[in-house]
Amino acid sequence: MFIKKLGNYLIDEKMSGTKLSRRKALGTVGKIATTAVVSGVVAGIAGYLAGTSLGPAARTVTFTETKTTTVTTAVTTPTVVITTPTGKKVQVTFVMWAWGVETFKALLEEWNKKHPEYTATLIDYPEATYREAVLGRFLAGEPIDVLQSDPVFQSEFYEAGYIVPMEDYFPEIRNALDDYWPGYRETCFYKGHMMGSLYYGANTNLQYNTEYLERAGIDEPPRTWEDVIDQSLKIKEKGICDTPIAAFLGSYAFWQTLYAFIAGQAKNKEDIYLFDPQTLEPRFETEDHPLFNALRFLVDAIHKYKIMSTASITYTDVEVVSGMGGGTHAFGWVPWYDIGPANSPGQPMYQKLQIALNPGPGHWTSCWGRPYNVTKICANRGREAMEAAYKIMCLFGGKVDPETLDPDWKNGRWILGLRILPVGGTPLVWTISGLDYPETKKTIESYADLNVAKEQFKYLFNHQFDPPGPPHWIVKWSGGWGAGPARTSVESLLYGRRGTSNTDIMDVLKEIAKQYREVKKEYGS
Amino acid sequence: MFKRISDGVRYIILGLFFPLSLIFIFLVFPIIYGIYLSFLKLDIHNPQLMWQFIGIGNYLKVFSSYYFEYSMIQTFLFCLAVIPIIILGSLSISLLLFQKNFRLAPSLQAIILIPWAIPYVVNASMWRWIFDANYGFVNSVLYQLGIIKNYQAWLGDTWSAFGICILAYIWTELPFCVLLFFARLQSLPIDIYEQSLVDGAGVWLRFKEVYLVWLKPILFVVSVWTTLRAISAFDLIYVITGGGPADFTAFISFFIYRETFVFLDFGAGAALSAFIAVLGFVLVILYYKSIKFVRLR
Amino acid sequence: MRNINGLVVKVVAWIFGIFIIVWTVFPIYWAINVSLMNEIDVLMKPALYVPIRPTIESYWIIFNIKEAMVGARPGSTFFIPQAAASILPTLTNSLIVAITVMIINIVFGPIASHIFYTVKFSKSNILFWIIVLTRLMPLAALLLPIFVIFKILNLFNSLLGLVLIYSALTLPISIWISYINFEGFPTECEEAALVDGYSRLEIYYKIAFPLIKPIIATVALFSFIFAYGEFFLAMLLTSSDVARTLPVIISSIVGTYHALPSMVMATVVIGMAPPLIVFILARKYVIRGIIYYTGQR
Repeated sequence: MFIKKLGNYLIDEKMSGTKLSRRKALGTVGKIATTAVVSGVVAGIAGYLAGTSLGPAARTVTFTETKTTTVTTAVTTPTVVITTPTGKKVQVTFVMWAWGVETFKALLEEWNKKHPEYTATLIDYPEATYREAVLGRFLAGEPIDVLQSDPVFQSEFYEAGYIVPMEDYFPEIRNALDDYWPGYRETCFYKGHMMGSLYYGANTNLQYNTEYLERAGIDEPPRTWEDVIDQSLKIKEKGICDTPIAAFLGSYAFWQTLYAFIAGQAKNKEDIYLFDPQTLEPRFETEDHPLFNALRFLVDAIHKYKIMSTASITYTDVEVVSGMGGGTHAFGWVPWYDIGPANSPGQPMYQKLQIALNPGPGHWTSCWGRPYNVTKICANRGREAMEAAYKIMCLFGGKVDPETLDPDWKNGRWILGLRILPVGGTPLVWTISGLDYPETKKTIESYADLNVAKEQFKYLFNHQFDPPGPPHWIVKWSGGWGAGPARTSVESLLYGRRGTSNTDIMDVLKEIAKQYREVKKEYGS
Repeated sequence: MFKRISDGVRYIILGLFFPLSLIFIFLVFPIIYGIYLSFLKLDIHNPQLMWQFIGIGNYLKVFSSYYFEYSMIQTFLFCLAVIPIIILGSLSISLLLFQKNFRLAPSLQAIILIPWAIPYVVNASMWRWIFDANYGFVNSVLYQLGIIKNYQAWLGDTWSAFGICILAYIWTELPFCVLLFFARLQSLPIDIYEQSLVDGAGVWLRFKEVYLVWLKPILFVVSVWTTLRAISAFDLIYVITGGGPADFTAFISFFIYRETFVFLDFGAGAALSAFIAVLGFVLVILYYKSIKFVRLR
Repeated sequence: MRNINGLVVKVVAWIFGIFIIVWTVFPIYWAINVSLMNEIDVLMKPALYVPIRPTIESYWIIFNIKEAMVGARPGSTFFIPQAAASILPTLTNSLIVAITVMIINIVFGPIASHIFYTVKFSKSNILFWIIVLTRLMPLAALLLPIFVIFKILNLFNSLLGLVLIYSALTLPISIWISYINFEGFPTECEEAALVDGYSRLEIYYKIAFPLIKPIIATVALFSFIFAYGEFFLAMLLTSSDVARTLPVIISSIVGTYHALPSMVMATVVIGMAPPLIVFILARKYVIRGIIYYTGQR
């Protein structure tokens, strides 16, 4: 038999010091066995792949231009109607990044209790690798119904066929738009479809140190960019602090903060666009463009006047909060959710920090939103699943009735926003009515002037390439939350490795425009 | 029936079956599949061409990309700095640890492995804070000693960020090599010691004739290990500098991450990995040949 | 070289030794130092070198998240990493996975290399080199294939899955390290035993295994630390606390928007502790190995 044959091939049992007699058969057997295993696995995988999302996807991509800037409350008939048999308990999976997880879990528990016909589970992933983890989930076919997203992911996921617009199934979701400040509305859209409501929205704000300004004899926060430089030089001369200017340009926040400087250079919103909304061609290769002026300002601040250090370019949230809260800087361009922590009890600069309008002719600053998305997997499961998804989306990103936790766009409240207030983050700053809740008022007023905030919120530019939404391939140029060729080039300019003259800045702009065109050529259809 | 199999075969099956199947399923197959994938177009931003065979298209894309040349230079410099220091450093430390009458040896032995035992996420946060631009230890000390006039942004400056990466990397990787050398040293046959002591050989001669000869195989392992780890250095450095001031410390393995996870081009990522693997393979062969050559002498 | 001759050598050794001790211990000291500071002290300029007002506030918050959320001072709620609630479950997971992987490596690593060393069969060399060279490929490229396998075998979000993949990643190195250390081993004992009629398996665990105790310790340490500290795969292959390991939670806490540096450092210290404890325990075995070996001779 087989075994006997094996035995026959065995020659010597003795172990001599060095080489042994050959066991050819064993080697061959080993080889056969392993090839069998491997090919079996491969065959299995090939067969499996043929029938799942990992297999080749036949998709044609057509890029249609739809500019949607008007918001209507008119509820149109849903474009997709699905019917399924009722009766079974519906599973919903909600995916989020790991911030405020306990608060979300608690709220979800309550919702589950009040909706016994559904079972909702919550999955979270570390923020730094959220997109990859979610992609992994999509590729592996793991359950995922509603997820926190970002305009850039949104476009990618949509083009890859993983998500569907919520408004196609529940047009009521458009009600959310009415209560958002104008700058946030577009973030929910891609190619004219509203993908979902917002988890939150935030903007970059100027936060300044009132004590330092007082000590330097300055009455008012700066209103123009020249003011910023003058005041910073004064503060530095008086020896109050060495690098008065800080900006949260590190980690994931490079573009969102850079856009605050860009937007601040423009008088009108339309001037800010880096790319022409129709043709998607770069518009910034000229010395008139706000991008040029913003870079001019930053390069001067770092290298000419030395009122800003390159540390800003590597700052993480922790570091920029410590920088402002610890009093290392007088002016900080920081996202809203870092303002509170910097100005909290226990920080050396508690109650000495205040916010101001972004300097510049129009006081424009950057904002961004994080929409929720609903997946195709969910849509394929039928009406119940979609309804559950809609309810979850409203629970975490819409107005619900505080008692039943059901969507109520007329009289409901932004429950999640309220729950998250004690934890930190952005206290409903993307909503209009949310700012009038007593809880919100109390929270914001403890660290910032609410009136200044409301004024600033009128001038928000969604930094992620306004309508029709970021082209899905923009990440190959910008790097998104990470780094791409454009970010690397601009950073090297800010680090001073490319020179500081106007021509040098223009060279960098030409370079990133060229990179953009290359990417567009390859991916833009 | 099991008894009918000869003892040798039984031993082989018992000892090799489980580890080999694990390795083949979870390592060898993914590698082969990964190499296969490197010849396909797997770019999420290009859904029409997904899964199409494009031959060496990915490789060409990677070699002509904006980062390739620059990053290879940076990686080369990094390896040049790091590999000799780790190999020589770990060798000397392990010899030091081995000296019986060196009174510091026990305490050294106790702590030497600590840096390596720490998960690198933890490691990196520690180093970041020590070099923090506003509140870090290094700034503080140098300022108080009068060596620097103003606090510096260590992570924001090209060569200092590079240096920090080297420092943190050596801190983390050196202990394991020490362990490898040390474990080997402990099995040094006593008769050889005693022989060399009797012969009255001097320090240097003893080092050459006794230690080096005994350690040669492990020297090979350490060199290969250190080199392979250095060219694929990513995790630790990613958390500390994120690629450094404008990609200055973005060594070549970084871009596997960037292609795969930021640009979402898995094909390019696979191609770059295959390239690094081949590079490693070539280096291993070089080491092997040079060790053999030295032996013949 | 049991005795260091010459004063020069001794002085150099001492200086070097002290340098190594400081270099190894200092970053850890600094992390502990910062973790014991309160909010204001942590942001002092110049930095405090010793916590003059030590507080275990950060640790308390991390281990009592729910209470901290409710009862802490207003404003401080900004700095509470909610992810810290998962520290204990993930720590348990990490330990379970790490210990299992360690056991697998101890059991199957040296025996596999012993087989390669003694029982030579055709193509064993190739097989050996395949195993060793599988570690050439950087991990990022293997992710898609590993995903495929995990999907087929339904191993997502399971401790078993992690154990299997980590074993596959550590076994090649364990086998390689063990193999190298077999070189120069006297095999007369084993041959004699064979003639006497012992089975190969018995020979292995009665003769060979005890002789390579230091290597076993090395293999154990290596696999434990690898499995404990591995972050990338753990993060991508797990999606809930059922199977999540500690490094993933640590990176969430450390990367939290509003973490205070002292909180970050407290997390760092907590993340360091388990491997350090294991290491201190294991060290005894590494040293014991010498005594056993030399004693036996």
